[in-house]
Amino acid sequence: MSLLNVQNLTVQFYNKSEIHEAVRNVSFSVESGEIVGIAGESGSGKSTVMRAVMGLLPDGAEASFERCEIAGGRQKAAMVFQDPMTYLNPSVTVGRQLKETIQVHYRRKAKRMKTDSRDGENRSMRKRLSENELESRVLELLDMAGIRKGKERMRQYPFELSGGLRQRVVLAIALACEPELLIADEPTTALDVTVQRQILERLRRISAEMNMAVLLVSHDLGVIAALADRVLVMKDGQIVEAGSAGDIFYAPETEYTKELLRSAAGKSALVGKMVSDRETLKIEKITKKFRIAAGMFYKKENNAVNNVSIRIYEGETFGLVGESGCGKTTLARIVTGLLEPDSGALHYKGVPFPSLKKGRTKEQTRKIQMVFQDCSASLDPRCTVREILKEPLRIHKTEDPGEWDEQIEDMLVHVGLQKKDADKYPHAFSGGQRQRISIARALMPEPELLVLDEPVSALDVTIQGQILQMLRQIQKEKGISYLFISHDLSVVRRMSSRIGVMFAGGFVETGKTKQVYEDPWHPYTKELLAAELSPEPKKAKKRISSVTEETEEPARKASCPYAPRCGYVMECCRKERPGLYQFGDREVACFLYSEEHTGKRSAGYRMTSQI
Amino acid sequence: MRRLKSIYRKKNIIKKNKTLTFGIVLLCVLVLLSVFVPFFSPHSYSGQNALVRNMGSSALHWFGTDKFGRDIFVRVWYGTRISLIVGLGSAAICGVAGILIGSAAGYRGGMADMILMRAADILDAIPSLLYVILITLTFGANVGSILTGICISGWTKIARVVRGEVMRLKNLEFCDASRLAGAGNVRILFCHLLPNASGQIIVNLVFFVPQAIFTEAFLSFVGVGIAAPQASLGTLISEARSQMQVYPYQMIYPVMVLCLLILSLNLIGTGLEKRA
Repeated sequence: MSLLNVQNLTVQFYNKSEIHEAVRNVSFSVESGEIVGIAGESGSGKSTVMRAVMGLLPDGAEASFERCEIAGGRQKAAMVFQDPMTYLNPSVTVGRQLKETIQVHYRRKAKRMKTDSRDGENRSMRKRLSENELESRVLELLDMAGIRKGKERMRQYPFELSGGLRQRVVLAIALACEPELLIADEPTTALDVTVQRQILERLRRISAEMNMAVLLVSHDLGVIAALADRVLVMKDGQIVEAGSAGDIFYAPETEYTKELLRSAAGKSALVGKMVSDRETLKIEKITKKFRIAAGMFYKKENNAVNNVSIRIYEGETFGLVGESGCGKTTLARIVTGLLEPDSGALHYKGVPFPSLKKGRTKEQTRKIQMVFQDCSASLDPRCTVREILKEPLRIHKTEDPGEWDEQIEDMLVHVGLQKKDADKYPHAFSGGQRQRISIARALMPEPELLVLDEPVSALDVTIQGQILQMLRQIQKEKGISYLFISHDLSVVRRMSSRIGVMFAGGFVETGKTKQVYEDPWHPYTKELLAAELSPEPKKAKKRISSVTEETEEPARKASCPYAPRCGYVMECCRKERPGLYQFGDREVACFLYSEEHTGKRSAGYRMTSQI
Repeated sequence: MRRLKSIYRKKNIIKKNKTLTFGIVLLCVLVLLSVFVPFFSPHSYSGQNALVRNMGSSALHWFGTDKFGRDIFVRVWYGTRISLIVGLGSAAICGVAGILIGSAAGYRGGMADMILMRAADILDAIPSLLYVILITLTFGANVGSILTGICISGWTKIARVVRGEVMRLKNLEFCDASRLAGAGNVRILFCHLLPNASGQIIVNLVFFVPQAIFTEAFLSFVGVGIAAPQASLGTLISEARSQMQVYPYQMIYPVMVLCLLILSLNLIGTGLEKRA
């Protein structure tokens, strides 16, 4: 008998008088020890199925089924959610939270034991575990989840940990229940690619060692490909295709799966040619520090952006890649003038632009606009779309206000919305549509440079493709330059002609997109590229199995920030920070490319990759 | 057309929210009575008549008369009028002051925030009773003095709410977006921040009204509020206290009206809170 058996599951949501069917006639089963992936776009009902299985449906939802059971009951299953911060208690140490779970689980087990053996032999268990036993079990679990230095980590609070570590803690808590089925709902979606790879590898190992079945829900086909033995593809609350990973990925049958795979592969490059060599934006040696209150009397400084220089030419797209917290957004905000850099200069077509606070004029502000990452926070919920789009017109334009409405409606059509959408409020739109509105707002004052801060990260792959296509179209028509920021390498590759890879506030490598992707010079670029999961099971599985576990030691101040993670680390890397070494149109910040550490080079020497 | 639609939508909301509807209807009835009863009644609120002292309810005097033969029905509604003026007036003054000071503190932050909020703390530290007593002593026991007394420290509560909301909202990306569109501070504050904070502000203001009414009634009851022959609900209750055991109705009627008034305002507040 299979571990999880779901037959004809239907979930309906009641909203006042409306009934919305989120899941329709879904049937599947999970055998013990196997990893089943559920793929699908947001709103396809993946998570609802998982919640129905665990009995966690919200009020107003009703599940009906012929059969929906976990062999051995729900206590045999555990769940890991997307955002660990929302269900770890922020005011309780990690160790305490784990101990609680272990104790509860133990007590339940003891109780069951007692009722089972009432008339049999007297095999009674103690009521609770001692503090020592608890602690050793906590350490064991933390180790299983891949957390080093468990003794230290136990005493920390969730907010002291990085996203990856938090997700591991949650994994440890889930494992405390000794589950036979682990439901992982988008477990790595909020994490960086390099960390994602480590967590997936953990999941795979735990599943194999403990013979634990994993039900992996993800919108990212790369993640599914890396782990799953069997795959279910969901769309609009139904399973449209099911089969082994090989069948689904290499020989998909339904049109929908094919489309999903196509957009995930993202083959079509949208890169425009360099239109001109006229420089629009030049930023020079920009540094920004944030002061963090670390204690009562002293403050810690954090180099958010360190000595960064960029040149962007007219009509081109410059891509900025890096993991979260590397200073991408800070840099974007400095470019738009929202933040004041501590040092460095920003020139636009040869004219120095001050920050907004230091008196950037309206005309200057108009030229550089920005599209924000979180489109639900960047649109004022109290304004209609018309009011949102009218604001820049009201401030900049001197023309007749009678034409504004027409301009607004034209712009809406331009970004793929309808004229009648103008009088709706932002909450009436889906994520993709909201991002279109954000783009429309940024285009309203007719900018010459558009800073795009993760414009598609929150969207489904198919919608990502549409938005990127649209951005490219707009660039072609209006000849504006883009500064395109993303943590997603495949997106940046599709969009940009040149890229810069950022790590810990500075560039480690810049150059033409094609060169950098095909022949990375810096070890970090290589690691990033290796962590990218393609939707091909064979490749992706190999990638996660070749993972090196992260060391969480912070780099010392005066050293290469990448040194603790670098496989090519040299003595000098721990002593000073490398500058950017330039070779033609490529730059790389690594001592492997420096003359003083690798020996003198002859004048005609052509640099190649050293790694 | 758009306006019509939005009004229709608002109506719908009111229909669905029973607490809010009931509160509004009750308040409207009370307001109408307080406006029209002193106007149309044959009796005046201060006219004394020795022939009809301490009469019980009758067709002529619905709530009876007090020890000077004044009609309690008129006096009660006249008192409600004063209570409402004090309540709504202080809410309006405190609302404006609180919104301005709170948004200045929240939006500016830093030193301005520090100074304004510490000033609020200091004003708050002294009981508002003391302000009212001092002001009525110097400027006479009238509505104006009570309003001033309540408002001196009353704005701090609203200001704190506004400050918190503004601080939370000003870091959201839509503010940055409108700053990039070229909007100045005033525009961002009044077009984006305050409308988004309006729910919180309105709820707090509505709850402020019954508090002010209650403060006024309490002050009048202990004898530092409105002076005779003017009557607020508090003075009426206080006057009836001496004869409570003999003529309890003289106290029960104003108490009932005061309760209804505060109940209606609290219902509106709760109803709005539910919606916000």
